[in-house]
Amino acid sequence: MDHVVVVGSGASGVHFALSLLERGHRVTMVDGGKRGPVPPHPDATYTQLKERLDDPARYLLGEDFGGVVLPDSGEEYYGVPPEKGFIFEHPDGFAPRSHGFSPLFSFAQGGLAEAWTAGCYPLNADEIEDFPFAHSALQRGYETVARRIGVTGEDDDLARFMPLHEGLMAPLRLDAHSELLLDRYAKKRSWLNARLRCYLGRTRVATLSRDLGDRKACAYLGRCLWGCPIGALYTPSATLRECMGHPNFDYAGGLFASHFALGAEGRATELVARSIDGTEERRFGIDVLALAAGTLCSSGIVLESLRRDGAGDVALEGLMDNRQVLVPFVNQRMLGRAFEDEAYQYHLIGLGIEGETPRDYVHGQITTLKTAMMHPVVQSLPFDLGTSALIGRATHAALGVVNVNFNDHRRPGNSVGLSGEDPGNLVVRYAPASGEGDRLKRTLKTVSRALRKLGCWVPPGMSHVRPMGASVHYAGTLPMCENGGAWTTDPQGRSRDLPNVFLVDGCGFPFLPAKNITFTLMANAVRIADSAF
Amino acid sequence: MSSQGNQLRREAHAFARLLAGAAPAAAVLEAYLAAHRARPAAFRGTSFQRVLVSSASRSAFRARVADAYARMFDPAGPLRCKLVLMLAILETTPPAHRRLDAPIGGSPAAALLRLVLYGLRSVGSLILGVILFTPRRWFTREAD
Ligand SMILES: Cc1cc2nc3c(=O)[nH]c(=O)nc-3n(C[C@H](O)[C@H](O)[C@H](O)COP(=O)(O)OP(=O)(O)OC[C@H]3O[C@@H](n4cnc5c(N)ncnc54)[C@H](O)[C@@H]3O)c2cc1C
Ligand code: SF4
Repeated sequence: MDHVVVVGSGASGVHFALSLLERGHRVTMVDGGKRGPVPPHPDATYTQLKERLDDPARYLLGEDFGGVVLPDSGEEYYGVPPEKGFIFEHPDGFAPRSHGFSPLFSFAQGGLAEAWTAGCYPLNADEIEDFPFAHSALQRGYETVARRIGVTGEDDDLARFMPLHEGLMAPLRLDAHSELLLDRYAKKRSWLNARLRCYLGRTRVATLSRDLGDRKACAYLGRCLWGCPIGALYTPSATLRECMGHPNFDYAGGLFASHFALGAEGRATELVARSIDGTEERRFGIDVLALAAGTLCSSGIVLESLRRDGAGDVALEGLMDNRQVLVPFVNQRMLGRAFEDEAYQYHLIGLGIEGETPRDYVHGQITTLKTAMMHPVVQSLPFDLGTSALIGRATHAALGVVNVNFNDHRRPGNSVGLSGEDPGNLVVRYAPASGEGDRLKRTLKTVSRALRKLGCWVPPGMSHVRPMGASVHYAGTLPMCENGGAWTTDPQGRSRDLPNVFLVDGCGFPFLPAKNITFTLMANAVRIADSAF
Repeated sequence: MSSQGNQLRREAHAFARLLAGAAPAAAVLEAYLAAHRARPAAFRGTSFQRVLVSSASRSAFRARVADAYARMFDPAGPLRCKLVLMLAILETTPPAHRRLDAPIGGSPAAALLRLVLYGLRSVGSLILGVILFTPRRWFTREAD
C-alpha cells in the first residue's frame, strides 16, 4: 500500500485520489479548501427564488452589489455570481503577474470546476497522437469518470468528433430555442456538412438526466449559474465528499502548499504548506507526491521547490490555453416569445467544424439565453437603456451565443516562471501563435455563415475574442512523452527530474485540442492512478 | 433627509419609470441607495456628468434623452452606471422583474416592427440629447 500526498481537490485531484483509494492506497489531500454557502430554497426555480428570498437583489447581485456589471469595467465577464465568489478567492500574499494572459486560480474545494458549465468531451485517437499512450487507456478513464459523475449525450452528428463511451446517460430535455436550431439543422444538414464542414448535435454534459447516488436528476430549475441546489450538475466537490467517506483518506484543507523539500537524487521529502491566512506552517512527510493543484499552481510548486534548492531561474515552457471567441446571434423565429425559466441554463447543443487535419477541429458550444441576467447584455446595445431594456424583452428568448474554441500547441516563450523581485510569486507569459488572426477570421466567417443558414442574424462587430487565460483550460508545462529530457514526465505522469513526484493535472498534456479538457483531465488522472500504483 | 438622499430618490424614481414603467418598490429604493454606499467611486463624476445625471433624474423622458446622449458620448460615465445598476436591481426584485421578464409578444414580424420603432425613438432621443447637451458640455468644460 502506497501513501500518496495529493495537492488539490479539483477535477484532476479528486478522481486521482478516488482511484487510489479504490485500489487500497492511503491518501492525504492538502488543499486550499475554501467552501461556499448552501443554496437556499432547493426546490425553487430561478423565478420562484426571486419571489421567495427576503432580499433577492442581494442574493443575486451580492452584499456589496459586486455582481452588477457596470459599463466598461475593463474586466472579462465570466458571469460568475457573487454567491460563487469564494471559488476565486486567493490566499494572503498570493499575487501572480501575467503578460498576455489573464489567469484564473481557485483555492476552493473542487477547484475551478465548481464554476464550470460541465461540458465533457472525450478526445479521439488523432487528438492524442502526441500523448505517449494508446487511446484505449484513456477510453477506460473516460468510462470510469462517466460512471462516477454521470455524463449525458447522444449518438448524433457530433459523435464523429467525440467517441462514444460506456456510461453515457440519455440527454437532458431541450429548450425550445435549442430544439428549433436542431430542427433547422436537420433541414439544412447536407448543405452545412458539404459546404462548411459544419456539424451540429447535442453537447455532452456532466448533468444528470437520472438520479445517481445522492445526486438528483435535473429538475430544470434554471439556477445552474448560481449553483445547482440538488447536485444534478456535477462539481468535483461531490467526488471529494465520496473520498471523505473512505477510511484511508485524510483531508487537510485551508492550506497553501508552497514547495517541497528535496533530498537525495531529487526526491521530494517533505511538503511545506501554510494556512491560507498565512499564520501557521504545516509539513507533510512524503513517500509519493502527486501535484493536482491546476497547471499553473502545480508548476509554481515545482518552481518554488527548485528555487529553494538553489536551482536559480527556471521557467517551465509550453503553456497552452484554448483561444475562445464568443459569437452572439439572434434567432428570428424566436422573436417575441417568452424565454424559458424552467430549463437547463447552459449549453445543450454544440457545433463542430472539421479542420484541415483532425487535430484542427474547431469546437463550439451553443448557449441559448434563458435565465441569464440581461443587464450585462443589453447595456452594449447602441441605444438609451430604456430602449435597450425593451429590445432585451423582445429578443431575450431569441438570443444565443456560440463559444468557439481553438486548439493550442506548446511553444517556447509561453511559460510559467517565478518573479525575481517577489520570490514565490508566479509570472505567466503568453503570446499567440503567428497567423492566429487569419485563422480566427476564417473560422468566424464559417460560424456566421452556419448561423445564418440556421435562420439566425449575427450582429456585425459584436463577436468577442476573449483574452488568453479566459478559457481556463491550462496545460503543457511538464509534458508527458515517451523519451523526454529535463522537465518532462513519463507516460505515467512521473517527473523525470523528481522521481517520486507525479503531475496528474493539465501540466502533462503535450497538445491541447479544441474540446474543453476537464473530462480528459479526470480520465487521465484515473489512468495515471491505475497504471502507476 | 440629506439633499444627496433626495437626489438619489429622484433618480431612482425617474430611472425605474424609464426601465420598468413604474415607480420603484421600497426594496428597490433601499437597494439603490445601498449600492451607492457600497460602490461610491462608480457613480462620481465631473461637473458635466453631474449635469447629465441631474437632468435625467427629472423624469423618465429626460432620463431617456440624457442617456441616449450618454450612450454615445459618455458610455462609462455615472449616468450609465446608475441606470445599469437600476436595471440590475429591477430585474432581480419583485414585482419589477415580472415585467422585465415578460416578453413583448406577437409574431416575429410584429416584434421586428416594434424593434425598428424603438430604435427610431432612441435615435430621436439622441438627436434631442445632442441639441441639449453639446452646448452645455462646452460651457461646463470652460467653467471647469
Ligand atoms: C466559468 C468556467 C467554466 C468552465 N467550463 C468548463 C467546461 O464546460 N468544460 C470543461 O472541460 N472545463 C471547463 N472549465 C475549466 C475547468 O474548470 C478546469 O479545466 C478544471 O477545473 C481544472 O481542474 P484541475 O483539478 O486541474 O485544477 P483546479 O480546478 O484549478 O483545482 C486546483 C485545486 O488545487 C487546490 N490548490 C491550488 N493551489 C494550491 C496550493 N498551492 N496549495 C494547496 N492547494 C492548492 C485548489 O484548492 C483546488 O482544489 C471551466 C472553468 C470556468 C472557470
Ligand atoms: S436546471 Fe440547473 S440548477 Fe436546475 S436542476 Fe438542472 S442543473 Fe440544477
